[in-house]
Amino acid sequence: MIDPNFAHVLVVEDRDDTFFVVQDLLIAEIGVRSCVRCRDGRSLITMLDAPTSGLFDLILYDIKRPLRDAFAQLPMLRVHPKLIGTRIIALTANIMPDDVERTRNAGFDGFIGIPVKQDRFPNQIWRILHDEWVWEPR
Amino acid sequence: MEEHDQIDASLQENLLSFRIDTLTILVYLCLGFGVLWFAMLLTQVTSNAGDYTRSGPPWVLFAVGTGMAFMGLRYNKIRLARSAFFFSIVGTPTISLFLLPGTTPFMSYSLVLAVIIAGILYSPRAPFTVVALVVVIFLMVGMASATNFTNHYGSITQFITTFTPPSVTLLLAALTSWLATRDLVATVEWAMESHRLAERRAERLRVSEARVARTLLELEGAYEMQSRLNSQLQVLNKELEVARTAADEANTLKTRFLANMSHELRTPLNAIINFTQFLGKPRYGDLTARQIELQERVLVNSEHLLGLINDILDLSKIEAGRMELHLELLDLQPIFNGVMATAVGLTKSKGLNLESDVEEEIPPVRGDKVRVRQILLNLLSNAAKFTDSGGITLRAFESDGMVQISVIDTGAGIPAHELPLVFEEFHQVEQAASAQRQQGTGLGLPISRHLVELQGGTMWAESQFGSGSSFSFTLPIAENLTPEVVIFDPQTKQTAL
Repeated sequence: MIDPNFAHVLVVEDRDDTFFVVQDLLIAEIGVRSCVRCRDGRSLITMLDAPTSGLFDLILYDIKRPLRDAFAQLPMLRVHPKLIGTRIIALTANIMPDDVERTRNAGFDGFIGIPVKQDRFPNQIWRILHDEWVWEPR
Repeated sequence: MEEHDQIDASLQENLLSFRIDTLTILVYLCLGFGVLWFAMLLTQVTSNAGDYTRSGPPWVLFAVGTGMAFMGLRYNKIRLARSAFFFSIVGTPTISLFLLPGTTPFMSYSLVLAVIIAGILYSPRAPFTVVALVVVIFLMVGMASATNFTNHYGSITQFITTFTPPSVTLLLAALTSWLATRDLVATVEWAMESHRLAERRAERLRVSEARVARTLLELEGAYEMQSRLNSQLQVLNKELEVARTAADEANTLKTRFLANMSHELRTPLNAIINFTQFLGKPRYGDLTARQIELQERVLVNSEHLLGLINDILDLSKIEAGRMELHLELLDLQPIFNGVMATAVGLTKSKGLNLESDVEEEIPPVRGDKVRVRQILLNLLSNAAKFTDSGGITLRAFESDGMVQISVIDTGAGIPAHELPLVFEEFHQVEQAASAQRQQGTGLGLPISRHLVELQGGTMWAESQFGSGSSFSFTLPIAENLTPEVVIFDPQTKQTAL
């Protein structure tokens, strides 16, 4: 359990617009301690492996079709020494029931659908950081 | 019947041929007997010279009768042969009794032969007729004697003593013949009857055999037809398999397309909606009142677009049988409170009354919380959209194992001919104010009805054009359901606990 104000958040997102929205909400509306961006899973590992990188409380991972990248990365992230206890949440526009189920089975800790709802997003993040389940594709 | 007559006739013929055999033997025997008799006549003639001339007629009669019988047998005139033979063996002794009194005992006893032969050649009762005939002949002989016409037999006493023993003998012979032939004829008749019965059975058998054969033929035809149908069915099945595979492929493609489309539309919409909202935030600078108005218009329209995408996705999921429902024991009151709070935002700006008329202690139902909320919000926002004055009432009560939930408005109402169409996809009721039309997607009601039905309820609409509408749906009461989450199984379209 961690207060959002102290949370270090990592966003894996290749689209600038989407990252802009998420970052703005995280910083301006929620007030997280830090918000770092990676463009994809590979650069995420590279970044984590760099000695300068810090720890993260929350990763918002944009899963793209055909989903292979994120699902292949997740086991590696799970055992990464810098991500012990980190909540990894799917943040994706793939909101079909099958997608949600696959995400759940792959081992993600939660699911937030795109478009992000401004009126609900702060609460969703708060709940995730307080170890509640959030599986909200819409 | 005709056949039976034929059978009878053939049997009679058989009987006749049996009699012919007998008759033939008899005729030969009588020829021998005639020779014997002739020898006897000769001895009689020697003792009495007058008898010599008188012995001619009986002899001739006998010879003619036997001869005719012989010829009749030869030329197959059976009845004639029988009559001639019989006439000769009766006629000869009779004439002899008249003409040759010396031969009386022999002649009268020789009539026994006629009696027995009558039994064989004619019928079991014929001997009695012959006996009667012979007795009449005896009496005539007696009368002839009494009137002194011949006077062979002297006094009546002498006549009686002469003719009583042969008469009795004849009667006994007739009786014996009758007893003997009666059994014979009965046996023959029994044989005939049995034969007839057997024939009838054989006939019946033939008929049923024919029927069996016909049935077999029909069966064969039916079997052939069946195998032909089977092969047709196989062809059809194969075609069906191909068609199904094609349909499955098409469905998969459609689902994949929809998933991709949804993803591709959501990503830019995310930016549009959120950036537009950011515009309203003070941290991005102040907008003029006109700009805020435009910003809100953009927001409403982009959210409408998002709603449309969601509805299309829902509908395609329902159509593909892949709608996921999280059925659980639902307490309705909190859901009502939530949707009423949302609906206040819709009614307040139009100055509409929003009332809740929910029965106390409404029982819990089985349903998907999110979907029930979706249905209620759809109905309430529709009601708010089409009502300009008056109010909207949310009513809920228990009815017949279900909870019935109605959203009643005092709005424009729906014309009777349009009422059945409101649950059809993309149908929108014609409105006077065309500007209102763009507010709905036309998919909300069809989706709501599908969702209600998936949850085991029904949905319907009632309306009085010009004075309001009511949309109602039911959800099954589930007091005994354990409050575990049940998930709608898309494969079987059934809920699995």
